[in-house]
Amino acid sequence: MCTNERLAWVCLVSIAVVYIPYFSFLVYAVQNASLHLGVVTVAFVGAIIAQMFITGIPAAIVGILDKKQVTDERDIAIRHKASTLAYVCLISCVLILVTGGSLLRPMFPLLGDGVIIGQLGLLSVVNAELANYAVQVFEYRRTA
Amino acid sequence: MPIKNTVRRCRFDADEMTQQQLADRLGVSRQTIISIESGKYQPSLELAFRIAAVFGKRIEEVFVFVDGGSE
Repeated sequence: MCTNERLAWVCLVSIAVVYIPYFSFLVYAVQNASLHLGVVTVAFVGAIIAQMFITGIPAAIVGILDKKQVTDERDIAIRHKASTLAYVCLISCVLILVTGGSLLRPMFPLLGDGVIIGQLGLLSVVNAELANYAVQVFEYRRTA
Repeated sequence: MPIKNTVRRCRFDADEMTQQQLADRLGVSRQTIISIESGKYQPSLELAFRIAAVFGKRIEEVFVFVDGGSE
């Protein structure tokens, strides 16, 4: 397994480990009608800090252990393919979530429009990043 | 894959050059050489020329287009 594939795995797993619980918690808070700006802010800051550690430490270890890392044309081709699909995923998510978010607006009486749009935007970015790294991992495995 | 290659054969003919040695000479990763040899990754034209040059061969001696539809 090359360095870039290891890094793709680290990013994929860290995003899944941090943001699946994060959005699950938000859904849980919505169901209990306890979702307000303070909860969202604390959860968001916690997610950011958790991701810094979960991504940063393994990535640093991978970088230190594999000093001969080379980014060649295969890596670039895989990244290009992944980023293209991630962009399509991002645009699709934004269109779907903005439309869906406006329909679901009555479910979030304690939140302002900016917070809801921000969270839906974050969900779109997270989905796109998941797609990006999932495609990278899949392509690395497929051509291994 | 319509393009076959003889990179593995060429390596053995070149004093059993290892995949890592070939990768180092080309500036790519060993995994890329593995992918090329197994036919799972088709290199760019530039890399294909450079691979052929490493073995002192012409590109058509290393990479062969197999057209299954003709004849």
